[in-house]
Amino acid sequence: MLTVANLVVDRPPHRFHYDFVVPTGGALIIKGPSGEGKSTLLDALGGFLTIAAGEVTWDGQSLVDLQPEQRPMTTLFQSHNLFDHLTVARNVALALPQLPLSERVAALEALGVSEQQDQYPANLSGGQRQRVGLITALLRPEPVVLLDEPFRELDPATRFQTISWVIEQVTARNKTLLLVSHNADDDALIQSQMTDVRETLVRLNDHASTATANTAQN
Amino acid sequence: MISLRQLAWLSALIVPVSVAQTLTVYTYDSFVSEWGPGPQLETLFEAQCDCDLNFVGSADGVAMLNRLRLEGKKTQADVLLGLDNLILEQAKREQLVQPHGVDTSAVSAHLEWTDAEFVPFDYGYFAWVYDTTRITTPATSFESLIASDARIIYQDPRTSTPGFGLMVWINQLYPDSANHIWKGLAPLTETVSQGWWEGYSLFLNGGADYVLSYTTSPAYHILAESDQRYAAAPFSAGHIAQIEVAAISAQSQQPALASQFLSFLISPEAQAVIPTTNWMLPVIDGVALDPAFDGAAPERTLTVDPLQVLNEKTNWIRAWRSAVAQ
Amino acid sequence: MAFSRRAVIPWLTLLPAVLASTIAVWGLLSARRESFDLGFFTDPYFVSTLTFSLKQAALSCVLALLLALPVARALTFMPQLFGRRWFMTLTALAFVMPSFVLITGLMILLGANGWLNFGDPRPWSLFGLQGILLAHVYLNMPLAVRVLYQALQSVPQDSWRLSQQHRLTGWQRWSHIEWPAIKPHVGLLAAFIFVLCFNSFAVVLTLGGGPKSTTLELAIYQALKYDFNLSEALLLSVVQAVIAGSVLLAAGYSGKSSLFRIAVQHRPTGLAVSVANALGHRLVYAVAWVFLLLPIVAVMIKALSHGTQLQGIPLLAATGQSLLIAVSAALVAVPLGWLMLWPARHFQGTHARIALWAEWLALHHMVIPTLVIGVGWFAFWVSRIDINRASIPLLVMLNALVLVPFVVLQLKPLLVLWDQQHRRLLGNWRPNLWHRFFIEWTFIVPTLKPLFALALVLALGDVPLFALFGQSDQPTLTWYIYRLAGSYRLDQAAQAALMLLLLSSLLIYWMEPRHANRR
Repeated sequence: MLTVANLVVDRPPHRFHYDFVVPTGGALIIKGPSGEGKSTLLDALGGFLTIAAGEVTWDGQSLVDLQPEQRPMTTLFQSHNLFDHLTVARNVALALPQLPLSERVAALEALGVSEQQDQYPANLSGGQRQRVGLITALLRPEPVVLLDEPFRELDPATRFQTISWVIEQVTARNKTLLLVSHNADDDALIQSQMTDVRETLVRLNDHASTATANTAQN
Repeated sequence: MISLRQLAWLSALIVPVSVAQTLTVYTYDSFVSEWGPGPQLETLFEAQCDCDLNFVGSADGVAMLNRLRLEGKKTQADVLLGLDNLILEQAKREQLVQPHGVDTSAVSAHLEWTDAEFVPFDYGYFAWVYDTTRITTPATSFESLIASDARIIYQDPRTSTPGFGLMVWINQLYPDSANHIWKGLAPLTETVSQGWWEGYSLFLNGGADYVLSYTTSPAYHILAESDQRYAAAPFSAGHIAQIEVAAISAQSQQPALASQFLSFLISPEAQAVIPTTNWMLPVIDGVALDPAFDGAAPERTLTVDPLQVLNEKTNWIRAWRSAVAQ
Repeated sequence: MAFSRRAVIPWLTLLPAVLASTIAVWGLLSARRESFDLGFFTDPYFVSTLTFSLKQAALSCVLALLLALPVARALTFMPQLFGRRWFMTLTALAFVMPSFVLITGLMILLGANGWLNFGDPRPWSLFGLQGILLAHVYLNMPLAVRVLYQALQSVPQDSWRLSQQHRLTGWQRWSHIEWPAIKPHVGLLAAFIFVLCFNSFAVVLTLGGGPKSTTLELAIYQALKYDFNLSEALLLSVVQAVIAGSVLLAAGYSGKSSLFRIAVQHRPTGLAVSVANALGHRLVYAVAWVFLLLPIVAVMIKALSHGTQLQGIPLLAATGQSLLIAVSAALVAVPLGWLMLWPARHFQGTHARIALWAEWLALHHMVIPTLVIGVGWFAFWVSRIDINRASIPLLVMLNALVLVPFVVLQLKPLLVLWDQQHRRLLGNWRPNLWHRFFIEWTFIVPTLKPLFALALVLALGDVPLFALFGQSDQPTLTWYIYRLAGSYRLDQAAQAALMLLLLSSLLIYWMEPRHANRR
């Protein structure tokens, strides 16, 4: 269970407060106007920002003093999720060293990017890059996955398939998912396919972001 | 099958181990250039000593001295060739040399040579050399040189024996007003070169009207180039002599061989080479000299006290430096 | 990477540089015979040396900038100029050209019997402030041209179009568009050129002409070599280091802009240029071509003219010696520079001030006079090992230390940007050490090749260290030229200079990327 208690993060001139709980294996959709603290939350949880006050715990263990490498999180950022000077195959191999080659290839095939294996990220479309990024994020061993607008660049043709695959992986591997949303349709899709999806709204000058439990069953 | 290692050991036994002795002589660059005395002396000496003569050049005599001080006890030098009478006291004080044990009775009497550590091998007199086609009335003193507004080249007293000699000369003639002379010369100075040859070659290329050199320099042009246009300007107040010397380095591992070399330097065959390669006067009697050398001894010469030079040189250099820097 | 403030390991990479400086200072302090005489600072010799150093550096800097600006503007406004790419290569060559090649060329052209020296009755004197300024302008103006040109190229095309639409006059366009584009770079550029001229050695040594044209660096050399006065040398070097360091600091140097960016992009402004202006630009361009090309041509002609005896063995030996030392030094300097950036990069995101200190430590050899390190080392090692045998390793190490700041300057902006972009990704993927190295290595390899070439070219031009350590019977090319030019054997000097020039040109060619970066 991921607990975020009275977390205060300073991003001058703003100060953000977060407070919510996500059960293990559950999901949290983070909504809100752009530029108002959603990515900041993910960065803070990932350990890439210093925290002003508050507490973050996972399974009872405090994460606040840990470096990013020591935290049980994997993040998919809005950009720079791959090394531009290495091929897709090489990127995936570096991201997922614990996975055998066959599984990596299977994942690439599942998302329709296996033909781009030997290309460089710059030669891929935005959607293809994002799909590869998702693979690197979801197949890692860390139990908590933080996704920052992960479906934004997906082509309409592959959107449904990709999101389904994500949900499949999350459920199968019992990941705890935190997702910054940009599209209500995607949220609906997620909520329809997963149990225990919560929502939180992050807004400036809003002191407490509330987590509303949404227990829609699929 | 013999292994590579065994082969190496074997070859070391088969190849004769004896290597000729090497005598390392520190000297100044123009001595060992192809037109200097070095090559001929090397051939002559190697024939009699069954050894290998190795010359190591520095920019000029004083530069060589500086190098020795920096090298200290680790120096490889056996013989120091190219210091002069004005700075040998310094070498002695810094214990850079050892007694030579050479019989110097052959040295010309008028040089009155009694030094136990240094052996002279040539000498000359400092003078300003000029191009007679450019200057019709040469200066006869430092004052008239300054007044003539000519372009001059001289050498840095900190690196070069002629430069050092010039400094001593000026301080001898003007013990209380040397600064005044230096300041007067400053605007005339085209350049102050590091070594003798650099300044001289610039002069030959038309870079200046006068260059500080020796009374024997014109002889080179007359004999080697059949060119009569260069002459040395005689100063009525007198010139000072430079006696170039050689000595055995205090760190030498082969003092006997070095001593043999020094003896060789004042032998008739070596002395016969000197005048037309180093363009200086020989230190022993009986060496045949071309008439071109006739004007090499000036009318008036000044004596210099080497100990005074040793004691005052730092002040003199500082004074020169300050005077010409402004 | 962990960002703990207490991390010690990254600082270890700076150890070689710090150790080197320590050895130098220790050597100097222990070997000196005279005590420190602070009265030296009132000696007119010191005062005039200091004044002259500052004066020639300031004048060189101002002249280089003023002369570079019209050339940069000509390049910007006239995209149809003939041979632009070659001109850019020429500027690169002129900037990294070993000083002695230029000096030889200048002596051939403007020396006492020089081809262009028409002074009558007396020839114009190359020696003195005028010669020094001429050489410095030649060596530094090309860098200024490149930087200013690059600055002007960064102006977005819309701005040019707008200026045309609003019918801005030339002066208005200058003050509203051109000057603002140039301004951020001028400070650092000027500071850099100033320091290069301030520390200049070979030029002042050969063209200075005497005590009234002595700079601090030359005075240090003379104090060491002529007087063996180590205390004076130390005092002088403190002054030199303080001034050079302050100038760089005052210019706000924090490593932000990369002056040496090797590739230069071409983007036409799309502006129409009046006939008169076009003529002016073409004239400036032509003059710049001639100015930069003349010494090179002079060297070539002199070297290859019949009547010059071919050098053969001594020249090849000197070339071999130069290459041996330069290649070894570059091979050491490039990885060392890369490693030495580690602490600065490590603290960049989190503790900026510590990062700045780390960067300064990596760069500090740029302000310490090379000679001081050299003599300090000489004094330290002379009693401990046989200097004559060890001269090559010592030269290699010292040259490497001198090269490291250039490597650091080149690599830092690239790596810092890369860190910013990928720091989080690395924190995410947590690669092991080997993978981490692999990721960075593959990123940096394309840059290493031109960097190595740059280091090599700079190392070939070394003079001061060889002046101290070198065996004069096994000279490097630059030393060989120095001795020949010094004794007016200009045709032979020209041959050696030509060899050096060929080597430098080859390296420049290797350095300029001929294809677009795949990044």
